[in-house]
Parts: sequence; C-alpha cells; structure tokens
Amino acid sequence: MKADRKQILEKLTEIILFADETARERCPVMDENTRILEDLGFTSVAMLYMAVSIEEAFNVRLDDVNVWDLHTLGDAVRLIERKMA
Amino acid sequence: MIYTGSADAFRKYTSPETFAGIVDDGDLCRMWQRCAKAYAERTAVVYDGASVTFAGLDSQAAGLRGAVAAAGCGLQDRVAVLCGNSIDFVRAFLAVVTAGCTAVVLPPHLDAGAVYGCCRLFGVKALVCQEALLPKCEVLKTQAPDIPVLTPDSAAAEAVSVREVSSADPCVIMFTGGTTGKSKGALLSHAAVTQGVMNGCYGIREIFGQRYLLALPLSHVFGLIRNLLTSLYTGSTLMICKSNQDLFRDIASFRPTVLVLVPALAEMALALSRKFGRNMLGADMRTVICGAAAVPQFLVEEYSKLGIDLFPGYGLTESANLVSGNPEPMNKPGSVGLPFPNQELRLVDGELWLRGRNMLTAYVGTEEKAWTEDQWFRTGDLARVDEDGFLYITGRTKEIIILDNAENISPAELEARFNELPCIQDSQVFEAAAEDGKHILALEVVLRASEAAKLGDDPKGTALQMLWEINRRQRPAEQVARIVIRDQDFERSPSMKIVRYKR
Repeated sequence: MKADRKQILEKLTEIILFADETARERCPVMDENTRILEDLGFTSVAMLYMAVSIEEAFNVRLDDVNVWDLHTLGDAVRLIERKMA
Repeated sequence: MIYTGSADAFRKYTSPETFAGIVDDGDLCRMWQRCAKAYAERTAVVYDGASVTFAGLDSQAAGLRGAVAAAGCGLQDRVAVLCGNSIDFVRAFLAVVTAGCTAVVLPPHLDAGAVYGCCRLFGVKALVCQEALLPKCEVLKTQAPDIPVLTPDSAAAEAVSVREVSSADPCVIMFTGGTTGKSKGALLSHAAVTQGVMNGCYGIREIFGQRYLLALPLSHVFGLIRNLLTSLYTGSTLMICKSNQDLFRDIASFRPTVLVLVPALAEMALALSRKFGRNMLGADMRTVICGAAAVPQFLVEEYSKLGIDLFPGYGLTESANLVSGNPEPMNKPGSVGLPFPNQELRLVDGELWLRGRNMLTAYVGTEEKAWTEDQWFRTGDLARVDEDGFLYITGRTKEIIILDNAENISPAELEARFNELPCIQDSQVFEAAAEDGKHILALEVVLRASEAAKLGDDPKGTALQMLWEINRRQRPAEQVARIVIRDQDFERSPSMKIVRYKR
C-alpha cells in the first residue's frame, strides 16, 4: 500500500521523537518545513539514528543517499516517497 | 606510590592457549611478517565488496614499499599517508612502515592548504595519497614539487624486502589535540605501537580469528591500533564500513563478533534494538570495546542482557591507545580497569601520570612538552585506584572547581554519582552565583527519554526527588544547592562531549 505524505511525516516524527525526545521542546510543531539541524538541533549521532530508523521503519534502502544532504523534514518525506514508489 | 601493570593480572580471563598466543614481536615490521605468513590464506580486510587475504595484502604492500624506496625514502624518513578508511589505507600504512619509514597519518578531512602545511611541519619526504583525495595535494605539488606524491597502486619494478628496524625506532606520527587542545603530532615508536596492539588482547575471552567491523577513523589511534592492527595481529578479518550510515547493514551481512565503538554509538545501537525489537548488533556479536569518552554503567548492564560483553577502557593518542581495560565491568562499575603490561602509573595531587613502553617518544610540530624530567607524562586527568588496583577516571584537572572554602571539587566525579540513575542521560555540575552573591554548586541534567517514560505521570518531579536524595547522601562540601532538569540537550562539541559552562 502506498503511504501518503501525511502518513510518512507522522511516522517520521515518531522516529525523531524516539531518537531525541528533547526535539519536541525545541520544536513543538513539526512539518515539512522543519529544518533538521537548525530547528531540531540534531547531532551527528541523531542524524545517523534517523537514517537507520527510516530504513527499518519504511523498509527502504538509503545506501545511495547522503543523509547530510537532507535539510528539512520535507526533503526526508520526498526521499522516502521516492524510495517507496 | 607507583602502580605497574602486568600480564598476569589478565591471565584468568582468557584460556591458557589463547593467552600464550599473545606474543611480543617488538616492532611492527616483524609483527606483520609473522602475521602475513601465519594467516596467509585468511581474509584480512573486506571493503566495499572487495576483499584481500593476508598474503594478498603482503604482496600489495611489497609493491608500494618498492615505490616508496624508489622515491628515495629510507630508514626513519617521514612519509605521509592520506587515505580515507579503505583497503588503500591499510596497504599504504603497511608499505610505509615496513619500508622502515615513519608513517605520518593525515586525517582525510584536511584541506589542500593543511595537507601542505602538515607535510612541511612534519618534514615529510613523500606522500601516499588515495586517488580520490589527490585534489588535496594540489598546493603541495605547486609549493613543494620536490615532495613526490604516490598512490596506493604505485609499485616499483624491483621488490624491496621488509626493512629491519629496532623497537625504539619511530613508527608513526598521529594527530592529537593533546592535553592542551593545541594540534600537534605524537611520535610513537615501534615498541609503543606493538605494546598498544597487544594491549587490545588482554582481558578478553575470545581474541584470535575474530570478525571485526571498523566504524572509527583510521587516522585516530582507537581505529588504527585497537581496531585495524589488533585485528591483523590476531589473524582476524576486518570489515571496513564505507559509511557509518551503512553500519547496521554491514553488521547484518558481515556478522561481526567484535566492535570497537564510542559510547554515543553504542547507546544508539541499543536504542535502535529496543525500537525495532531485534538485536541490531547481530546474533554473533560477543564483544564491544568502548572508549574515547566516559562509558556509563547503564551501557555495560544493558549489553550484558543481550549476551554481549562491553569493556570500558581508557587511553590517549600519547599512550598508543589503551592504558587500561576493565575485564570485569559488572563487578567494577565505573572503572576503566587494570593497567596493561609495561604501564606504570602514579597519582600526583590526584592527577594521573603515565610512564612505560607504550608512551610517545616526543611531540612533533610543537615545542610543547607534557612530561617531567624522569619521563612521567602528565595526562591532565584526575583518577583514583581502588584496593584491587582498578583505575577510575574522575575528571580533568582543568575542570576542578575551587569553592569559597578552598575545597577542590571534581565535577565529573560528582556527575558520575547522579548519572548512576538510569533516567539520567547526562549531567553537568558547575559553579554558580546565588542571589546573595555567594558561590554555590549547581547541577543540570538531561533525562534519558526511554527510562524517564517509566517514572509515571510526573517523570520530571520523580527524577528531581531521586536526584535530591542522592545529593543528600554526599558530604556537605559536595552537595549541590540547585538542581535543574533541562528541556534541551547540552551544547556539544563535534566529538559529542558536553561543552562545559565557562566560569
């Protein structure tokens, strides 16, 4: 079943909060414009965590992607959407 | 009092046959010749779908060794190695060292100006650079055309055999911020490096014929010595992870038995395992070596539940990696273990001083000296040793807080007591001014989300109660007067260390 962008973003938000609970305090509302480094304050370990979690949760492979190229949650959603297509 | 490490202290943790296998080659040239012969047909390194046996690596290194010699580099000449984590690095490092030269290991993230600057600063006679990094040699080629640039594929028509060196000869120069944070090179002898390689074997049940996965930079002693060289020394196979992003995929396909990790990555693997309900480190993982930052006891215990031994250790670039390792992390929580053989240590006003075979010969590229006239190296770390000889790192000398009453307080030592609560991820004790202007001790903490969730309806309130309770049990001079639970993580350095509040 093809997930829509809203569902992907919801699942992604859940992953992010598991990676770093304090992200919610820094950024109470997460949407596609949320910036991963500036708004969520992600560290290098949290970035790695997010990449691995996306692969596990969405059953996709990101081996041809550099996660550091993802600037916003929208970038991540589009990537997941493309990978799942 | 001087504490001296001994091999005997580690004997009981390993089978007699395995323990007898930890032999002293004296220098890296002899070590490599013995290993290349003893394990010839075994796979030595796997990287990006390619693999090479010990014999294959030996023959590749021999070709490049010839090219290094043909470039006019002989005994004790300095040759830089500029390669990312790859088989190229292994080949280049072995070729340079077995040519009798001193390998100057340059971090691959340096830019072209810095590569040139380092070659000048360290008096480099030639450079071996990976094909992909050649643009970083452009400044060098223009400014110093007399310094030849080779690639790991370079080979001479004439084979050159492994040079004979003595233990005291220089082996490698590694980058370090040292105890003062100023960038420089630490020159390590063959004796120091081989001691560091052997130290990786003590106190661990299964040592030889393992499957190692490398996720640390080879330009750091923890990656180079404890990971790569100990893997080669033990006839193990090393899979070099191409990118940390592939770490868990590589674990699933390669099924490593040993992993050398920094605590932040070890904790991430644990969190992922919980989240997805399976052991992300794979069913074959038995041993995790954890260091380069303080290892929380929580990690030791959680890994133990997965059937994995997590061994905390302590070391520096200046000590050719490991000074000590804790073979009993469950019985000796918080300890970085027993000193390894040929390591002497003493405590001077609480500061840890080191001397021994593994210690650096000198700093290069700086006038700085960190040791005393009788060769004691001052680490800048505060430590204590318990009645069984186990070492504990309790803080840094420069982090000492001197209170109004002249009491010296080590914040790290106090923090460790609060960090014992599983719900505390990290903490910082610092000196603050109270409303009346008097100096007080204050504590800030960040909660560990997964554990805090178990604390009921008011996790912050419950955690605060637990923290005040611990505080109450401290001696009066060490009690904090204020406790705050932070909503955000502390500011962190690139190596994930907390950036301490400036006083």
